[in-house]
Amino acid sequence: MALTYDKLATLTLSAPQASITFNSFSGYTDLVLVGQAKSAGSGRDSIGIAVNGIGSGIYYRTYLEGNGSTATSGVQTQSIRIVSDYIMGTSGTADFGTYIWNFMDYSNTTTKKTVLFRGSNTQVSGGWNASAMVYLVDTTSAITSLTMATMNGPNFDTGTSFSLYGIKGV
Amino acid sequence: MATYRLISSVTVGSGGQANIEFTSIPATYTDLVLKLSARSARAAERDSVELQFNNNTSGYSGRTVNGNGASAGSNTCYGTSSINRMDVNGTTSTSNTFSNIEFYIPNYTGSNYKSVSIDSVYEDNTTNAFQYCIAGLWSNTAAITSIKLGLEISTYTQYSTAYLYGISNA
Repeated sequence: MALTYDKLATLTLSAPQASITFNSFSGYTDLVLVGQAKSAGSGRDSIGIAVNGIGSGIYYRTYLEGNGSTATSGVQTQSIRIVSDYIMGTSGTADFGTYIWNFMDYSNTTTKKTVLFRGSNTQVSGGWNASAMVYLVDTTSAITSLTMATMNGPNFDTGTSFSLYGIKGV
Repeated sequence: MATYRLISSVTVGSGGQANIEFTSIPATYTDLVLKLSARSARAAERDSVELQFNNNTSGYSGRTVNGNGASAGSNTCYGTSSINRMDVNGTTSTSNTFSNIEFYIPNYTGSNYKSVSIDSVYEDNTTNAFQYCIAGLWSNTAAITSIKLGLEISTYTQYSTAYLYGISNA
């Protein structure tokens, strides 16, 4: 029986690295990206994902976030990349958090793309710890590459990992 | 090896069950996914699931973002003895209605703290409904070899089910 949920790519950093790119994932219906990340900088940061190398102008999100006492929700138009909630920097403890993105129907060349995101990191102080987001990626092009980097510029720290899985609908 | 594979399942029989446990979890996967459908014998509207690893009763924390159909909020988990706040139906809720909870545990054999992403929904087909997105953390570097799902007040009723899956990125 053909595999329905297939590992496509994975990388765990053995040294700090500026970005990670996954490509060459044709033949599936949906993609699931699972990440555990920290920044090599001292402060907190976020994960930004560029689709097909496009860094801005096509990403729209609606978000719901909580920090243990306050919930907030809002929209952001034309944001820079697909942005996660916070990740820790090197000043934090050994908590890499859990970040999961679902890219629906990523290869469809008729529709614009929808991405669902769940973020979980209890250790980030002063920031959002539990989040759920939906993204519109305003392109009818098939998604052919995903590039992950920190939003503020520092490298991802050693131990950061991303795994990409493909789901077949047929 | 298949990427997404059932490791074990539990179906609660007549007479109920205090805890749902998975032991001797093989270390051959990368991530764990646990799916729970549950109802409690508590004579009230709701009970609460308590998640523990390796029979350990300390080092847990969690933060939520949640909604009840009228407002959004954010909370912390109660205490440090478990990851909690996942509501399940009690006996005074609508009959034959079970809550659904999904736990995603990445890198469960790694040497970092164990992050858990949890989506929990409670529905009563009345004016009550609760949805929780939870960022959970077990501040322990040990590999996870067992999982225990207890209830704060009572026991699981018959037909409650739990399925543990392993995801491999190898």
